[in-house]
Amino acid sequence: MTVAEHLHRSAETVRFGVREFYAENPPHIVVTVLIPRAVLQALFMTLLGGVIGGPELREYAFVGSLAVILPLAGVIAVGEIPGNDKWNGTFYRVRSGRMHPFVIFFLRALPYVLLGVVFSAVSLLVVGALAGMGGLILRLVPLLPLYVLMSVTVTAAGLAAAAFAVGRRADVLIGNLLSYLILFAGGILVPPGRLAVADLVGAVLPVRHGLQAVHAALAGEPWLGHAALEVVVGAGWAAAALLVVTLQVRRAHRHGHDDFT
Amino acid sequence: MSRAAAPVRPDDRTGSPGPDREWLWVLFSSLRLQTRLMRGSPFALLLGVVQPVVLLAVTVGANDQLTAEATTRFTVGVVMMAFWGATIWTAGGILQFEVHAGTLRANVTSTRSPQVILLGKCLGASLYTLPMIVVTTIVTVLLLGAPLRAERPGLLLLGLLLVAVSGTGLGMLLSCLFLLTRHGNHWSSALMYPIYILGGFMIPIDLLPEGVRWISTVVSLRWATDFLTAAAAGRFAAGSLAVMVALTVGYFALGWYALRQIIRRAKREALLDRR
Repeated sequence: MTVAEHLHRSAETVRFGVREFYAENPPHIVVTVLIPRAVLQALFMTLLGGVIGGPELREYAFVGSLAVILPLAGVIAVGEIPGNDKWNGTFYRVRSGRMHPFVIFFLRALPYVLLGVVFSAVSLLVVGALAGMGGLILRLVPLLPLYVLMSVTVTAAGLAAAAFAVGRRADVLIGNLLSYLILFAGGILVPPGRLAVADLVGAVLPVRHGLQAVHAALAGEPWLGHAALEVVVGAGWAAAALLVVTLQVRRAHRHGHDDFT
Repeated sequence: MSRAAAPVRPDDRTGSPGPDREWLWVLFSSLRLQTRLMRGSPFALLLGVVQPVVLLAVTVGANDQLTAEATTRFTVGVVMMAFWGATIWTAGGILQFEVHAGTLRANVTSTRSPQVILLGKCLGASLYTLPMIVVTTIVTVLLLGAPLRAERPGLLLLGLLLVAVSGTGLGMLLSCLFLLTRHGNHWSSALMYPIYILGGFMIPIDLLPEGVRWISTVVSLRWATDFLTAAAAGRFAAGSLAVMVALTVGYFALGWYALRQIIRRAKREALLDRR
């Protein structure tokens, strides 16, 4: 394939991904249900931080709450992509096409990356205003690209989890488990150093290093190292997703079925 | 004189009771069916085990400054949060499941009361998830070594039984509501956090704006939280108990009425087979 053909096919896949996204999540559901749900979760986490540790932890939790809602899109909702192929019997077309199935999955997942960013941006404004943190909103706006990065890394992890789980009918369980793990070990409510297990698990999970980068940037400290670690973790999860999808494609070729098993 | 043969109902041979106790048999059968359906349910595992463990770890486990009162309040709050989520995702989804499985038509057109069937299933869901949540919570708190108060165990037990009953009523009502939309899953998801915030489980009501505080007064689990927290501290919160019971009766009445209306409409508009 020429570069132009690659670009054309990629653009078509993204276009299909957008249509698929809207079929699963119609605009009125996105606006009236998904975004309010994310905002309310962020508000809950922020308030809970204040209840546990006072105003200081409330600000810390607010920063984390904008990231804890990313898995709603990038982990739980993104499971719809391999799930749709399994239940509609279309995986054979994906695996027999000219583009690698992982690339197709990733391009179809882009609306979910964007949805995660929308969750964070809207929550930043709404929760920040409701919680009376106007100053912090202004300081966080320039750091939104770090949340974009976290949305990408979370989606990479979500794709790996979904591709692994869908064949075992465990997509709900695995996707939610990953989300709870991020809440537990992502440094959302608990600053690093308080729970050894969370520090250990969080090191290989998306969000944790990205949030450390945000906190470092807010404190005026060097943050690029943390952001680089977030990129590394995201690349690791993308590699895991690539491996799982590749194994499933080989298995499907060998056994002649497309059940992701 | 020969004795007239007593009328024999076809299912008497299978051991079902007479009509006077038949509703109890239907209730129990539905309850048993629901608990069997829920074995291995990801929602039961997530909300009954994973969520309590994670929430306790990040609230109680990561904070060694908490007093016994604060730990107890958080623990009760975690139980109520998990149970609210479980009610939405398990009991609340029963009728949706019936639609997808194609069994709704059979249930609402049989000679047995569909309300009793739904009641039994919702009760089964509550009795399946609540003990799981309570046991997980207690074990987690013990493992974390956090101080916990339980001054009136009898009242705590009574409160938990009423929570199960109240969750059953809520489940019936939610199950009917979620049947009215094709996006029931999204609505289930969206309904969790408003009550997490406004229900007074972990966020004290007085931290909320005055204009929204009234919402928690119609949530029975808010009063259950008050009752259980008081019982753990050795007090009997009769007012909270009374409101919880009254709200629970209201949920049952509304759920009963809502299901009847939905069935009437579905029969009138030939929607029973729609998936």
